Amino acid sequence: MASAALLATLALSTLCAAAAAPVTLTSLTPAKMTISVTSFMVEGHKMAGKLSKSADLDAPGIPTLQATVNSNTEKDAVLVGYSMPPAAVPGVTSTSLYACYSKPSAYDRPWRQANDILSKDKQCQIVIANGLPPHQGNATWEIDENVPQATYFVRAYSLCGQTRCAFGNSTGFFQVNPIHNLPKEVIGATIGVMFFGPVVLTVFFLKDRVIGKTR
Amino acid sequence: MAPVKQVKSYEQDPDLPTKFSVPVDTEHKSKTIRLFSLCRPHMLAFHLNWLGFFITFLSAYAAAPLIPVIRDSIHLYQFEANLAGVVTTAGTVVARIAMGSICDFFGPRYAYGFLLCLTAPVVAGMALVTDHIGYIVERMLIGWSLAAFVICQFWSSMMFSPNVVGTANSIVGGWGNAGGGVTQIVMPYITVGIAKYQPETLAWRYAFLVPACCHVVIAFLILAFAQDLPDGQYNHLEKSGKKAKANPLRELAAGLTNYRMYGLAACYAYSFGLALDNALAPYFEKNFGFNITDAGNLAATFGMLNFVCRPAGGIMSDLMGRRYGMRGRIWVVFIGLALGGVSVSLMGVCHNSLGLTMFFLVLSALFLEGTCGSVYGVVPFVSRRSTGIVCGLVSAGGAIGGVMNQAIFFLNTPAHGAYVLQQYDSFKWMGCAIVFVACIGVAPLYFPMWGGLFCGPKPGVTEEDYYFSEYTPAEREQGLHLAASNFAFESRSMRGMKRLAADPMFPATGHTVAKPGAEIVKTPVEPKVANGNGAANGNV
Repeated sequence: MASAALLATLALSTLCAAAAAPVTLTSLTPAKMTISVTSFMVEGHKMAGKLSKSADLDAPGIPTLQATVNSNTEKDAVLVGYSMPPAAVPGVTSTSLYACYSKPSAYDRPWRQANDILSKDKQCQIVIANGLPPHQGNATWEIDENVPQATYFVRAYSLCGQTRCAFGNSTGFFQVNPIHNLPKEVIGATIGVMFFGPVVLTVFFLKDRVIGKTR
Repeated sequence: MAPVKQVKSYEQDPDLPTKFSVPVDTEHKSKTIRLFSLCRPHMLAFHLNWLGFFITFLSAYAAAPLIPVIRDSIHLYQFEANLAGVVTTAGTVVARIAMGSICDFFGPRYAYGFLLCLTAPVVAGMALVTDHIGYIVERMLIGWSLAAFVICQFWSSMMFSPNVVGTANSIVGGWGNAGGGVTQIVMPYITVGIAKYQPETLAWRYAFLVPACCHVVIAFLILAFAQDLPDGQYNHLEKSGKKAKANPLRELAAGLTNYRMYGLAACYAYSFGLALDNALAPYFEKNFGFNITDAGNLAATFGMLNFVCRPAGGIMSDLMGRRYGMRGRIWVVFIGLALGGVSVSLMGVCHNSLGLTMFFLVLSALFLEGTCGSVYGVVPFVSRRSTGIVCGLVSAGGAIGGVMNQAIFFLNTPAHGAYVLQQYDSFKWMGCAIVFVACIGVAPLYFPMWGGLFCGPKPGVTEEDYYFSEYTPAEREQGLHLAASNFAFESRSMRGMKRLAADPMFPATGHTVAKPGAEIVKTPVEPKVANGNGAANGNV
């Protein structure tokens, strides 16, 4: 009884210690997953998934997608595939895919900075998909209007239960450009509000200075 | 007499019309501030005044807490965002000078009307910005609305008597300035609220329509319900001949040739013009590693402290003014500015400790914002004829100082700039600059009838000599200078208690004040005999 209690305490403290120690990216290296961008959907056409080696914005040859306003039109998209041999990491239960900001795009933007402690990391915040099959699969990332202009790469995390136990990065970068035009609702609302100020002023000015003077 | 209290009874010149709900002086300016009253014209003007100024500060600095979202949405670089912060302040320089003339010519009501109604479309226009050029231009144009400060101080000086003008100016100024702090909290909340129904990249655009609408609402209230002067509206008074039409060029000349204005502008440049609101949030982010929201909230405390610190400076200025006259007011400016500089330097020196940084931040707010309040306790006395212009020029000096400070200490980023200065070193050197300016800025503050920091008054010079000298001999021949005679008489309170006690013309406290030239008639007061035998005394 006493020994069972002791064992339980030891196990609990080990688990607590394990839970308390933050998971870092360094602890997961080397990358064990292979990520490949299968293709891009740009303006409804399929493009080859050839990524750029350079992460600079508007680098020559970098595949460029357009963020789209939430509407019925077809969004630009990235089709991503991943794979990992089952023997590489035992106990993998699921995979998550994230879109991550490249280093040049995170420069001078603290809200995009990488952090080795994964719980504090802001580099990979955009979730492409969760709960994907553990060793092999694919997913599509549709670029909606909230995606900022930046160069991105794709990262996959393998989850062993609740903790991350493996990862992989895509070997190149692609770019997303922001929405071209403002939606009509924004323009309409703005012009409507712009209208009131001068009208109120004109009414009072006429009332006081012109009508008031003639009386 | 405390400046802020519920006045139950008061003595007033029996010749004055009893239409006012507050005690008034010979110029019909209120002698007290009743904060929880909306009585017309004084207190309603007071509250609409600070509201109008508050909303302009809120919209001018509305972009600051949303910068990460805006930078992501229109792809701004950090130095472009910094530059926009500088041009916001730079845009106000010319606007403030022009607004002084507009106030003198059209009156504060229409000055607010023009400003708020014409900047409302500009604030709304921020929703249509799609690149860095549009963003910088928009922020410059929105920065013009900060000229509301001139109207604010001018209107308050017109409505409140010399003995409470420092307190009144500083309360409306402080509560208005606090808009810069409130916006750091309110704008993110509005954006987050709208982001529940719209994508975030559009939510911030809709968020700017809210302050734009508030501009129009407050402009409507001012135009519909407020009054330019205690005696009525500008155009009515000019029509009936009770007020001479302003001569803008002559008044601008009178303002520019008054050397005291330059000293006050320098003091204001290095108390208000520091624009620490802009610099603090990035400092907390980079030096202490806070996230954007926490850094913004901590930085907002500096702006919010305007609610109490600026009025504290004005109240101190009035208290010292009552006791020691104008010399007391000038000492308050000097001590506040010097101690403010020391606090800012110490804040930079203690950059390793968050606790000490916050302590010196609060001290800096107290002294610097207090100095802002006390500077505008002196400004109304610099000129009677060109009050609006002097308000405008001093505040323009504040804006110029802001641009200079931002450019020297806070513009450059490691990636883009001629030199690299660590932010805590920026604070350290800025504090030294403030102390230096305290010495040279206060030096020109000398009034011949009242004295200066170290010098006493010139014997034989009166307030009438000073205020009448603002009019040309030709204008004096026409009698235009007499418009300043009531103010000159009221401003004798700036002689200080000691001189006033020796002056039979202007008794110190508690007596009826007659108009200049009239005989002093004291109304005899029946003594109340308090005893139990009311019937025997004939009191039934």
